[in-house]
Amino acid sequence: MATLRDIRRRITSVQSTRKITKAMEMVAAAKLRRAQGRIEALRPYAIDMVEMMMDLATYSEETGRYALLRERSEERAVALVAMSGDRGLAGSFNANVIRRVLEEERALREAGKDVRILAVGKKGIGTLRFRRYTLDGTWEGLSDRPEYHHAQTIAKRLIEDFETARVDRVRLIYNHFISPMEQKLMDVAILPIRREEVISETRERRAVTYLYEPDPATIFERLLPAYVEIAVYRALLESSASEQGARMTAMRNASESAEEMLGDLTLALNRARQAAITQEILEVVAGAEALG
Amino acid sequence: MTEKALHLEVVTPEGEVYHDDVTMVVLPGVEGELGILARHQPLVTLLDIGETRVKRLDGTYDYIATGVGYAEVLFDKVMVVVDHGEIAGRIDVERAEEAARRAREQLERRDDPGARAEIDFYRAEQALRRAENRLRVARRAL
Repeated sequence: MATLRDIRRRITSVQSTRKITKAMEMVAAAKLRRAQGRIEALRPYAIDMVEMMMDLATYSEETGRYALLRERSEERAVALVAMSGDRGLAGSFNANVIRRVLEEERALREAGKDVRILAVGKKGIGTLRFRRYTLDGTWEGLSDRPEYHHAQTIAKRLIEDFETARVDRVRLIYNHFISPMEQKLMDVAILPIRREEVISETRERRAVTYLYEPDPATIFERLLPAYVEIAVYRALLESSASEQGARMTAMRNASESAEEMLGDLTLALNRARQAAITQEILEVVAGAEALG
Repeated sequence: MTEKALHLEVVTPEGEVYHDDVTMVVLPGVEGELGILARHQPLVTLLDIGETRVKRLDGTYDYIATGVGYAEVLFDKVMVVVDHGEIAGRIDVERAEEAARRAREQLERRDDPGARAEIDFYRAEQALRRAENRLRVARRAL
């Protein structure tokens, strides 16, 4: 049976662990709020951008000429972008993304396609490398606080791979934030850009006559990369919010387990103490009797 | 004669950085600067990295370091939708200088084949352009 000292030591250890998990939970909650704020902040920009593209597209005679919108007749190579976090202790957050990427990779390979994997986040990069996958591109140090220029760097690389036909399709695999308790794994093709996302066939030209500098088709083409950037940025933010939410939930569960464990240990401690006291009394009584 | 006001909004992916009624806006268009006053013709233009100058109603100027995007002028409203925007007085000069220095260091290693693998030169170049623009605009506030 565990001695009183052993139990006391365990109680102290569980207490300090609980302190850490509690602190991590609160930090994650604060970071989650910030990530959600950034998702909100993006919305007006994204809406203005897409509305403008749709308006500009009404002036374009042949929208088939835009490289970023063109579907390839044959899909030979696919890029999968795995978005994980830089740190663990977030429940199944990282594992879910990696598992999905590996499944998709296998399916595509069996279908005879080339797969190029790119990864965001130290956890994903580490696991994929450990499993001996060659990574086509990696980005780390941004999952905690993604900024727009991070998304631009990633988008620029993806656009380049697509334009040079290194890949015929680009898919993002990331966690979408639903609630701190729930993330939804997304698998979204961002290149080629789906026509209906930026071009509406039924849209009418605006009644006002605008002056365009340069011409509408050129502006449209120059703004197209922004659409990809927004998609990447949104995925980074969703993933970051999911990570914090998952960590918050995982840490709350850990704190609750610690709480429960402390209850059990305290009970065991009291029992052991009681037993020790009883033992002592018995010994005293027995000693007294022996003398008498 | 009192000048008629324009309403200016500057929107970026990281939030709105400016909105106010102003007298004049000078935009860094891709084909040169554009001065916008009230009753300007409806306009849509691409913007390059540069400085957006704002003449306020009281006659003083605000300077905003803006990135790439577009501007739309319609019925005395100017919407500037760009990937980056910072008002001169709020630019962290030390941070911008640090960013510029880092970017320059990376770009200096352009000819070193060993560095090619670890440095994204495009990113460094963009970072440098952004940082230099911020520094240039920040000096306006002094």
